[in-house]
Amino acid sequence: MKNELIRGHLDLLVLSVLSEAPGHGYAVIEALRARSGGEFSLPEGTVYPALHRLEAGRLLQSRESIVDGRRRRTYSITEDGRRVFIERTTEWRRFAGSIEAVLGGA
Amino acid sequence: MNGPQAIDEYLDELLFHLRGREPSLVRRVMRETEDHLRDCAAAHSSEGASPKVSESKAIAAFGPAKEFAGTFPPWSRPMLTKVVARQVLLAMGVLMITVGLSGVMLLGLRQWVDAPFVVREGSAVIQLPATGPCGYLETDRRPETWCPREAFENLEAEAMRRQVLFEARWQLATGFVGLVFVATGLRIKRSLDFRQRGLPPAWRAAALASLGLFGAFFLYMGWSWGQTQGKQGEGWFYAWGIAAALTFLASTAWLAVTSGKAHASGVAGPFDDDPSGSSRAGGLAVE
Repeated sequence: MKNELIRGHLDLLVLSVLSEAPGHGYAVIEALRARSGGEFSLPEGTVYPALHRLEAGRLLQSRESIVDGRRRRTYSITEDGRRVFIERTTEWRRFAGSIEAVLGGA
Repeated sequence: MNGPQAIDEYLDELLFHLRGREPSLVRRVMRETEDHLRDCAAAHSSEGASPKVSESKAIAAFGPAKEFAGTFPPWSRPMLTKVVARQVLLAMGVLMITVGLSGVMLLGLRQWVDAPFVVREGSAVIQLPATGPCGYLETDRRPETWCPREAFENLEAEAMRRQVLFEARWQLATGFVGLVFVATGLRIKRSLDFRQRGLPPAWRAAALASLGLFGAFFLYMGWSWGQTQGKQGEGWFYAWGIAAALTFLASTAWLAVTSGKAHASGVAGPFDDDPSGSSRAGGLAVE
């Protein structure tokens, strides 16, 4: 899949993963890869700016903890983040449905 | 790049490309990146890959360091403010120190070259000690009482010398302020480089001594100016000098006390590095 397509929706994808359970950056990337069936082949580093951006926008929050003797910064979705996630998911489904409706006749 | 310790080399390169960013952001990005790369390499190793291949795969999947670093904003507003303040303080401080050095030279020359008070006595020249009863302090007040008549003839030269002394003192004061500016600029620079919240231990004694010296200097200025100018009705010299001295001495005491309290309570004071040591990694502060 084209990286540009994924980048445009990366925030939504990250919110989607974290809406189910908190996780650190590596876990988010693994979840994205697994749930996309390996289709998302973005450089893994691109996820961290998205995480920072979403946290700066108060859609995510993070805290550092020690897990298995190692430091981890764990991200979790905020109430604002959950609300935005639902709104944007609805928008996306409407948009994707419209695109599909157009393309379906092709 | 890829090979044994490839992750370390990648992190070095990333740190280079992150220069100029907010230190707290740099630390966080560096730590997250290292955690990620180590996790990824460990996952590849568990699948049977060699350490060298594991690290290479982890780095390849993460993306080029320069490109990754470029996704983070280079300047925040507080950072920019600090950089500007640092530059202005350092530039002004250096300029003011040169003025202060000029005052030191002026006083030195006066001390060694113009120490005696020279007056004419007819066609002969005699010397009077500058600090004696006919020194400049009293000459223009009551020369008929304290000094030979000849001293009175040299009032113009004496007035000039007093003016030079007055200017030299101002230059010295300016130099001291310049030192404070430079110290503050260096302090900001340090906070930008390493996000250290206080002065290093070696600086504490120097800072306390400098502030104390500053206070003592102004105390002397207040007393000295009061002696020379206060007698002519310009009593504000007393007030100015003593107020400045008290301010600096009080600042010294406050800094010393708060620094001591910070050590006792484990809270960082104005002169402290993080005393707990628990939030540092590799000499850098950790959020």
